[in-house]
Amino acid sequence: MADDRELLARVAAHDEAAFRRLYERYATRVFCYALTILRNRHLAEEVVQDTMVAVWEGAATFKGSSRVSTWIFGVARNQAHALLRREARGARTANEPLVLPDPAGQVERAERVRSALERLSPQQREVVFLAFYEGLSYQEIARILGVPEGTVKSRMYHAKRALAEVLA
Amino acid sequence: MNCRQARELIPWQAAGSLPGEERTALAAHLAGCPACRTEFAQAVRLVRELRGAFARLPEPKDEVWIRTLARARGIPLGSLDVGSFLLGLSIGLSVRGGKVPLTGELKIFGHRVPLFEIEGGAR
Repeated sequence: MADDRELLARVAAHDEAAFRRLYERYATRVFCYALTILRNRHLAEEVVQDTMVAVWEGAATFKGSSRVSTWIFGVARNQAHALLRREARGARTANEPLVLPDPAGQVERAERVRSALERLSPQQREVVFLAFYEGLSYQEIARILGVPEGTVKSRMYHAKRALAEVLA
Repeated sequence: MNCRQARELIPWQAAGSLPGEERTALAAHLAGCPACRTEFAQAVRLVRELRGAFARLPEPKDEVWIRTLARARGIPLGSLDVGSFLLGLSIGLSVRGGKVPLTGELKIFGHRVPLFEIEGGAR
Protein backbone atom coordinates (compact mmCIF):
# COMPACT_ATOMS: atom_id res chain seq x y z
CA MET A 1 0.00 0.00 0.00
CA ALA A 2 1.37 3.41 -0.99
CA ASP A 3 2.30 5.63 1.92
CA ASP A 4 1.04 9.19 2.23
CA ARG A 5 4.14 10.74 0.62
CA GLU A 6 3.91 8.48 -2.43
CA LEU A 7 0.23 9.26 -2.79
CA LEU A 8 0.83 12.99 -2.44
CA ALA A 9 3.58 12.87 -5.11
CA ARG A 10 1.10 11.20 -7.46
CA VAL A 11 -1.57 13.77 -6.56
CA ALA A 12 0.96 16.48 -7.47
CA ALA A 13 1.00 14.91 -10.96
CA HIS A 14 -2.83 15.09 -10.90
CA ASP A 15 -3.37 11.34 -10.69
CA GLU A 16 -7.10 11.03 -9.85
CA ALA A 17 -6.83 7.46 -8.52
CA ALA A 18 -4.21 8.61 -6.00
CA PHE A 19 -6.39 11.61 -5.14
CA ARG A 20 -9.30 9.30 -4.41
CA ARG A 21 -7.14 7.18 -2.08
CA LEU A 22 -5.78 10.21 -0.28
CA TYR A 23 -9.34 11.52 0.07
CA GLU A 24 -10.46 8.18 1.56
CA ARG A 25 -7.64 8.38 4.09
CA TYR A 26 -8.22 11.96 5.14
CA ALA A 27 -11.79 13.09 4.44
CA THR A 28 -13.28 11.78 7.68
CA ARG A 29 -10.29 12.93 9.74
CA VAL A 30 -10.42 16.43 8.25
CA PHE A 31 -14.20 16.45 8.69
CA CYS A 32 -13.91 15.57 12.39
CA TYR A 33 -11.19 18.18 12.91
CA ALA A 34 -13.29 20.84 11.18
CA LEU A 35 -16.28 19.78 13.26
CA THR A 36 -14.33 20.34 16.49
CA ILE A 37 -13.57 23.89 15.32
CA LEU A 38 -16.84 24.83 13.59
CA ARG A 39 -19.41 22.59 15.29
CA ASN A 40 -21.51 22.57 12.14
CA ARG A 41 -21.77 19.57 9.83
CA HIS A 42 -22.53 21.52 6.66
CA LEU A 43 -19.59 23.87 7.19
CA ALA A 44 -17.29 20.97 8.10
CA GLU A 45 -18.17 19.30 4.79
CA GLU A 46 -17.27 22.52 3.00
CA VAL A 47 -13.92 22.47 4.77
CA VAL A 48 -13.33 18.90 3.54
CA GLN A 49 -13.96 20.06 -0.04
CA ASP A 50 -11.85 23.21 0.30
CA THR A 51 -9.01 21.29 1.94
CA MET A 52 -8.89 18.46 -0.57
CA VAL A 53 -9.10 20.83 -3.55
CA ALA A 54 -6.26 22.86 -2.00
CA VAL A 55 -4.28 19.62 -1.59
CA TRP A 56 -4.96 18.74 -5.26
CA GLU A 57 -3.78 22.16 -6.40
CA GLY A 58 -0.91 22.55 -3.92
CA ALA A 59 0.49 19.01 -3.52
CA ALA A 60 3.60 20.01 -5.48
CA THR A 61 4.40 22.65 -2.84
CA PHE A 62 4.70 20.04 -0.05
CA LYS A 63 8.36 20.27 0.99
CA GLY A 64 8.53 17.05 2.97
CA SER A 65 9.74 18.70 6.18
CA SER A 66 6.75 17.37 8.14
CA ARG A 67 4.41 14.40 8.04
CA VAL A 68 1.78 14.62 5.30
CA SER A 69 -0.91 14.51 8.00
CA THR A 70 0.57 17.58 9.71
CA TRP A 71 0.58 19.43 6.39
CA ILE A 72 -3.01 18.45 5.54
CA PHE A 73 -4.32 19.41 8.99
CA GLY A 74 -2.54 22.76 8.58
CA VAL A 75 -4.33 23.27 5.25
CA ALA A 76 -7.62 22.23 6.87
CA ARG A 77 -7.16 24.70 9.71
CA ASN A 78 -6.52 27.55 7.27
CA GLN A 79 -9.64 26.58 5.30
CA ALA A 80 -11.76 26.33 8.46
CA HIS A 81 -10.70 29.77 9.64
CA ALA A 82 -11.20 31.28 6.18
CA LEU A 83 -14.72 29.85 6.26
CA LEU A 84 -15.28 31.25 9.76
CA ARG A 85 -14.29 34.70 8.52
CA ARG A 86 -16.70 34.40 5.57
CA GLU A 87 -19.45 33.21 7.92
CA ALA A 88 -18.77 36.11 10.27
CA ARG A 89 -19.56 38.48 7.43
CA GLY A 90 -22.86 36.73 6.75
CA ALA A 91 -25.46 35.04 8.92
CA ARG A 92 -23.84 32.82 11.57
CA THR A 93 -24.98 29.22 11.45
CA ALA A 94 -26.07 27.76 14.78
CA ASN A 95 -23.75 25.36 16.61
CA GLU A 96 -24.74 21.71 16.67
CA PRO A 97 -23.99 19.04 19.30
CA LEU A 98 -20.39 17.95 18.74
CA VAL A 99 -20.63 14.21 19.26
CA LEU A 100 -23.38 11.77 18.32
CA PRO A 101 -25.12 10.02 21.25
CA ASP A 102 -23.54 6.71 22.25
CA PRO A 103 -25.95 3.98 21.14
CA ALA A 104 -24.05 1.19 22.89
CA GLY A 105 -24.74 2.01 26.52
CA GLN A 106 -22.84 3.95 29.15
CA VAL A 107 -25.01 6.77 27.91
CA GLU A 108 -24.76 8.91 31.00
CA ARG A 109 -20.97 8.87 31.09
CA ALA A 110 -20.74 9.48 27.31
CA GLU A 111 -23.09 12.41 27.71
CA ARG A 112 -20.86 13.91 30.40
CA VAL A 113 -17.79 13.48 28.15
CA ARG A 114 -19.65 15.17 25.28
CA SER A 115 -20.77 17.98 27.55
CA ALA A 116 -17.22 18.42 28.90
CA LEU A 117 -15.83 18.67 25.36
CA GLU A 118 -18.36 21.30 24.41
CA ARG A 119 -17.41 23.44 27.40
CA LEU A 120 -13.84 23.77 26.13
CA SER A 121 -12.87 26.78 24.06
CA PRO A 122 -12.44 26.00 20.32
CA GLN A 123 -8.66 26.49 20.76
CA GLN A 124 -8.52 23.95 23.57
CA ARG A 125 -10.83 21.53 21.76
CA GLU A 126 -8.72 21.41 18.62
CA VAL A 127 -5.55 20.73 20.66
CA VAL A 128 -7.35 17.91 22.49
CA PHE A 129 -8.59 16.44 19.18
CA LEU A 130 -5.19 16.60 17.47
CA ALA A 131 -3.36 15.21 20.51
CA PHE A 132 -5.74 12.54 21.77
CA TYR A 133 -7.46 11.37 18.57
CA GLU A 134 -4.82 12.03 15.92
CA GLY A 135 -1.91 11.27 18.27
CA LEU A 136 0.09 14.31 17.14
CA SER A 137 2.93 15.60 19.32
CA TYR A 138 2.86 19.11 20.77
CA GLN A 139 5.60 20.07 18.29
CA GLU A 140 3.43 19.00 15.34
CA ILE A 141 0.37 20.75 16.74
CA ALA A 142 2.37 23.96 17.27
CA ARG A 143 3.34 23.81 13.60
CA ILE A 144 -0.29 23.32 12.47
CA LEU A 145 -1.59 26.12 14.69
CA GLY A 146 1.35 28.46 14.02
CA VAL A 147 1.86 29.11 17.74
CA PRO A 148 4.79 28.43 20.14
CA GLU A 149 5.05 24.94 21.64
CA GLY A 150 4.55 26.44 25.10
CA THR A 151 1.16 27.78 24.01
CA VAL A 152 0.07 24.31 22.90
CA LYS A 153 1.20 22.79 26.20
CA SER A 154 -0.60 25.50 28.11
CA ARG A 155 -3.86 24.99 26.18
CA MET A 156 -3.66 21.27 26.85
CA TYR A 157 -2.90 21.79 30.55
CA HIS A 158 -5.95 23.99 31.01
CA ALA A 159 -8.14 21.77 28.81
CA LYS A 160 -7.24 18.72 30.84
CA ARG A 161 -7.99 20.51 34.09
CA ALA A 162 -11.36 21.67 32.77
CA LEU A 163 -12.22 18.18 31.52
CA ALA A 164 -11.14 16.58 34.79
CA GLU A 165 -13.33 18.97 36.79
CA VAL A 166 -16.43 18.07 34.80
CA LEU A 167 -15.70 14.34 34.65
CA ALA A 168 -14.39 13.81 38.21
CA MET B 1 11.33 18.09 37.25
CA ASN B 2 8.69 19.52 39.60
CA CYS B 3 4.99 18.60 39.76
CA ARG B 4 3.86 21.58 37.67
CA GLN B 5 6.26 20.62 34.85
CA ALA B 6 5.21 16.98 35.14
CA ARG B 7 1.51 17.83 34.88
CA GLU B 8 2.13 19.79 31.71
CA LEU B 9 3.67 16.67 30.13
CA ILE B 10 1.30 14.03 31.54
CA PRO B 11 -1.45 14.42 28.89
CA TRP B 12 1.11 14.00 26.11
CA GLN B 13 2.55 10.88 27.73
CA ALA B 14 -0.98 9.52 28.19
CA ALA B 15 -1.59 10.13 24.47
CA GLY B 16 1.70 8.39 23.62
CA SER B 17 3.36 11.28 21.80
CA LEU B 18 5.93 12.55 24.31
CA PRO B 19 9.50 12.62 22.89
CA GLY B 20 12.12 10.30 24.42
CA GLU B 21 14.06 12.70 26.63
CA GLU B 22 10.96 14.20 28.25
CA ARG B 23 9.40 10.75 28.55
CA THR B 24 12.41 9.54 30.55
CA ALA B 25 12.39 12.61 32.82
CA LEU B 26 8.65 12.26 33.43
CA ALA B 27 8.99 8.54 34.22
CA ALA B 28 11.63 9.38 36.82
CA HIS B 29 9.31 11.97 38.42
CA LEU B 30 6.30 9.63 38.40
CA ALA B 31 8.34 6.91 40.12
CA GLY B 32 8.74 9.15 43.16
CA CYS B 33 5.46 11.12 43.15
CA PRO B 34 2.20 9.30 44.02
CA ALA B 35 0.10 12.44 43.38
CA CYS B 36 1.37 12.74 39.79
CA ARG B 37 0.91 8.99 39.29
CA THR B 38 -2.77 9.47 40.20
CA GLU B 39 -2.88 12.38 37.76
CA PHE B 40 -1.34 10.18 35.06
CA ALA B 41 -3.87 7.38 35.63
CA GLN B 42 -6.66 9.96 35.34
CA ALA B 43 -5.14 11.27 32.08
CA VAL B 44 -4.96 7.77 30.58
CA ARG B 45 -8.68 7.27 31.31
CA LEU B 46 -9.47 10.69 29.88
CA VAL B 47 -7.61 9.93 26.63
CA ARG B 48 -9.50 6.65 26.28
CA GLU B 49 -12.88 8.29 26.86
CA LEU B 50 -12.22 11.20 24.53
CA ARG B 51 -10.98 8.89 21.76
CA GLY B 52 -14.29 7.07 22.12
CA ALA B 53 -16.18 10.36 21.90
CA PHE B 54 -14.28 11.52 18.80
CA ALA B 55 -14.78 8.11 17.19
CA ARG B 56 -18.55 8.72 17.41
CA LEU B 57 -18.34 11.89 15.32
CA PRO B 58 -20.31 11.53 12.09
CA GLU B 59 -18.68 11.09 8.67
CA PRO B 60 -19.00 13.43 5.69
CA LYS B 61 -21.70 12.50 3.17
CA ASP B 62 -20.62 10.47 0.11
CA GLU B 63 -21.57 13.32 -2.22
CA VAL B 64 -18.76 15.44 -0.73
CA TRP B 65 -16.28 13.37 -2.76
CA ILE B 66 -18.24 13.98 -5.97
CA ARG B 67 -18.30 17.72 -5.34
CA THR B 68 -14.59 17.72 -4.41
CA LEU B 69 -13.60 15.86 -7.60
CA ALA B 70 -15.73 18.15 -9.75
CA ARG B 71 -14.02 21.20 -8.25
CA ALA B 72 -10.57 19.63 -8.67
CA ARG B 73 -11.27 18.82 -12.32
CA GLY B 74 -12.69 22.26 -13.03
CA ILE B 75 -15.21 23.11 -15.74
CA PRO B 76 -14.35 21.33 -19.00
CA LEU B 77 -14.17 23.61 -22.06
CA GLY B 78 -13.39 20.88 -24.57
CA SER B 79 -11.28 17.81 -25.21
CA LEU B 80 -9.75 15.89 -28.07
CA ASP B 81 -9.67 12.09 -27.78
CA VAL B 82 -7.77 9.75 -30.10
CA GLY B 83 -7.38 5.95 -29.94
CA SER B 84 -9.74 3.51 -28.26
CA PHE B 85 -10.80 2.33 -24.79
CA LEU B 86 -7.78 0.00 -24.74
CA LEU B 87 -5.20 2.64 -25.61
CA GLY B 88 -5.84 6.31 -26.24
CA LEU B 89 -4.73 9.86 -25.72
CA SER B 90 -6.91 12.67 -24.38
CA ILE B 91 -6.05 16.37 -24.49
CA GLY B 92 -8.41 18.69 -22.60
CA LEU B 93 -8.91 22.33 -21.75
CA SER B 94 -10.78 23.40 -18.60
CA VAL B 95 -11.35 26.30 -16.23
CA ARG B 96 -10.04 25.60 -12.73
CA GLY B 97 -9.38 28.06 -9.94
CA GLY B 98 -9.32 31.02 -12.32
CA LYS B 99 -6.82 29.32 -14.66
CA VAL B 100 -7.22 27.50 -17.95
CA PRO B 101 -4.91 24.48 -17.84
CA LEU B 102 -4.26 22.27 -20.88
CA THR B 103 -3.96 18.64 -19.76
CA GLY B 104 -2.91 15.46 -21.52
CA GLU B 105 -3.76 11.94 -20.36
CA LEU B 106 -2.91 8.47 -21.61
CA LYS B 107 -5.85 6.06 -21.41
CA ILE B 108 -4.95 2.42 -20.91
CA PHE B 109 -7.83 -0.04 -20.46
CA GLY B 110 -10.00 2.80 -19.20
CA HIS B 111 -7.43 3.91 -16.61
CA ARG B 112 -6.24 7.50 -17.00
CA VAL B 113 -2.54 8.24 -16.58
CA PRO B 114 -1.65 11.95 -16.44
CA LEU B 115 0.99 12.94 -19.00
CA PHE B 116 1.29 16.70 -18.74
CA GLU B 117 -0.44 19.85 -17.56
CA ILE B 118 0.33 23.31 -18.90
CA GLU B 119 -1.12 26.15 -16.84
CA GLY B 120 -2.37 29.12 -18.76
CA GLY B 121 -4.64 32.14 -18.61
CA ALA B 122 -4.26 33.46 -15.08
CA ARG B 123 -7.29 35.23 -13.71
